Amino acid sequence: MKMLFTLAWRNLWRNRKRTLITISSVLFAVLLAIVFISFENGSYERMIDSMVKLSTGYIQVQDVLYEEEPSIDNSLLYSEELKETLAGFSDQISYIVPRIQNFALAATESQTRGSLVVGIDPMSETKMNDLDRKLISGEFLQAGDDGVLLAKGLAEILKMHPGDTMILLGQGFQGTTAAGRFAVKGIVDLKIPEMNNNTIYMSLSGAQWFYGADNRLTSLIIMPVNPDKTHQLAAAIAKKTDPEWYKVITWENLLADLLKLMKFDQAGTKIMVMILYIVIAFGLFGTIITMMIERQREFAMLISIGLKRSQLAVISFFETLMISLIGVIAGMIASIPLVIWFRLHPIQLTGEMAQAMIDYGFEPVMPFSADPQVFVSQAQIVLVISLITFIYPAYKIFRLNITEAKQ
Amino acid sequence: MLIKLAWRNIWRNPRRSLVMIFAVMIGLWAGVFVASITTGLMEQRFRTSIQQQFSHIQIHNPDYLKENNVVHRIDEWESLGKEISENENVKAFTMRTLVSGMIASSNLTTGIKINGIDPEMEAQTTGLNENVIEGSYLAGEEKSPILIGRKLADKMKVRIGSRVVVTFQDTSGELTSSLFRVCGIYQTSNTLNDELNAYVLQQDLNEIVAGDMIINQLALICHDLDSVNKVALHFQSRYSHLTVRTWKEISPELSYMQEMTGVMMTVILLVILLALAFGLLNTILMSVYERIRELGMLMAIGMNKRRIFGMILMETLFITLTGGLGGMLFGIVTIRLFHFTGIDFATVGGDSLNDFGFDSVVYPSLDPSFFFTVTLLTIFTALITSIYPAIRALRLNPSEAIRKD
Repeated sequence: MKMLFTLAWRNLWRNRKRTLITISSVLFAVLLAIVFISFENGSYERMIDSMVKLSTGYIQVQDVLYEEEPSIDNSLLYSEELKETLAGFSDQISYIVPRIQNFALAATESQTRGSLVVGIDPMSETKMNDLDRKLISGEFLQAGDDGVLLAKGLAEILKMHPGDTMILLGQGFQGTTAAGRFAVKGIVDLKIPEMNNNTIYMSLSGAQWFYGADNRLTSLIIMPVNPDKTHQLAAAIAKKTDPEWYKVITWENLLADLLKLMKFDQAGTKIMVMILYIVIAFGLFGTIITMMIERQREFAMLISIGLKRSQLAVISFFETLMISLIGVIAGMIASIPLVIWFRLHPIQLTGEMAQAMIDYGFEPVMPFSADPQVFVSQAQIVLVISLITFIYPAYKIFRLNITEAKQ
Repeated sequence: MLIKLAWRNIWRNPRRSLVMIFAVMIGLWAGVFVASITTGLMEQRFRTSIQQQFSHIQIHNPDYLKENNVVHRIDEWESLGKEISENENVKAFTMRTLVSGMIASSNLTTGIKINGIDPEMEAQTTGLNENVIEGSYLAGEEKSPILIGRKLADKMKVRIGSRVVVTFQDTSGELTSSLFRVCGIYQTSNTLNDELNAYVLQQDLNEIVAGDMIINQLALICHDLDSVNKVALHFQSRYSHLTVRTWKEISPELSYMQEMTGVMMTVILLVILLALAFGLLNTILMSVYERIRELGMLMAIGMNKRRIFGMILMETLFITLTGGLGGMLFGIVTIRLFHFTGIDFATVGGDSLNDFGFDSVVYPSLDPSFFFTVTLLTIFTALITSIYPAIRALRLNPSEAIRKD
């Protein structure tokens, strides 16, 4: 066996050009598959990333009942005990975003409108989604403020400007009536129409006072230091908190609907990737067939001087294995700088599309993913394809007609 | 003479030639097929959004668009409606009364947009009746029925027959509350939208809001997409004080999505062409390598280098054209085939889509102009690819080549 291996190794370098051609076939196959998948995944990653930052956060701690019944009555008590528990994870938690929200009627002299009144901590909210940069007039909210920020669409509907006052009327904690007069401090443009037409921001303490829900939150968002470890962190927090009162939810559950819809796009991608593999397999196959035509004489010679066909097949398998492995590894290495380059210099978009993306608060580019998983999985798939393609030489060896081939 | 030689060369070793022909064929087929799937996907998404959400054209009072207030009505809805129904380009249309307010069950209060609709017209325009997943469509037998989205129903914990209170401002600015009974639960592809829209009977809503008929929005579906602009311009000029908007203006995201798909398609095509190019390059290189003796012989008996170069290019041209033709035919056949049967995405992980009012079957289709672009690109790629091996062949030394075993 060792001798066969040595023979295979020497065969590879006896005809260096041919080997390099075949290796490069595998190499480019891996390279293309990786670049393609990295491009596809990049879009999904960005979409999830922006949704996580704009709305849900990576982890939320909620009252056990809140997810099923998002009413302020099912808010959680932000107790010293909970704070202490979370402080135990301070090395893994980047920051915490507390929120309390409920629906209320916003009324001016002539207009009344249902709106979502969200109590926020301006500092951490800004860290999470750059809310302060969306300010288009007036001043941004400060912690402990008693004014409100209006979303742009709602401000237009209510005809409010910074400095005006308005009435908020709603349901507070445990059936109390929440009512108050508030000054408009500033106006923020939230870009997304559904949010822009109905959102009001208040300072956390202001909202807790308004809803009569002292020290209560509807959700406590936790942003981990390392988002890849979201699940471990969520599980650890869940273990340390009382499951009778608190529920720890990760973004996959919070964004379940969006993820389901994304599967549709991904199904399309899967078909395209399959087609790419077909093209790759054919490219490899062409190279192999041509190589076999060229080597017929050599194989016939070896068989006629006494090498068993099975031994020859083993040699050819070793050759295949080495060529595939070298090709796949070289392909992975070659793709790293390419993917990094594309990640740093993503494809720029122009025209209407770019404008639409800017309007939604995105950078107008097509991002690439640098998830190591992409490299490994694509390399594996191409390795399998190339090993399958190389069945052909083995088949050929067993069928070879020596007398004809030698001519 | 050279052409004849090249042609014979191809069929002297049919296996090798067939492999290359197949490679070109598969490459071209892949490009065309992928493009057709992408187009099919996009068309399906587009159709769903237009049908369920935006319609082709919407008509509003311009003040309504600014303030979202029910008082900004379309006064001449009767004459406008009559004209629209007589317009031959319009397939269906619906008139809606729109009120923003709050909806409350025993355990949750949230913001909502109440759509007062004529069930018959709405069904014809948006197919809302087909999106009802539980209970029944606004049939009009019960008193004050309301149709709400699945997500909202879950949140509010209401079932068919549950009572909900809807609170909003009437035309005189007074807050009014009214009781409705949930008759059905619907779901479309846009969950966020479902959460924010509830449907009631137009006459029920108008009774509470104003006492007379108020129309805030007209949504039109045209027979075909090309006539949308014409129809919009026609009604805009007839009713210049109203705002007539086409889907492009209503939802810039839709056209953005189309452009985005275009970019994606280009990238995919590029990757496939590259894969094809490298496959071909290696095959041709390998074949030049295999033919060293033969080429050396030709040189030795006096064929000059330019002719050898020409011969190899010519061979590639024949192979590419044959493969290209085959790929095109194969592509047309598969697209035609799948265009009628469709590809069910549920089998590759796109299941659970029916929950969203999406059809999981995609029907590939392709613009003929794109077809020819892909074909030309493929042939071009193959030809460019063959230049390098041909140059390699030129570098052969005849006396060495001929002695190679």
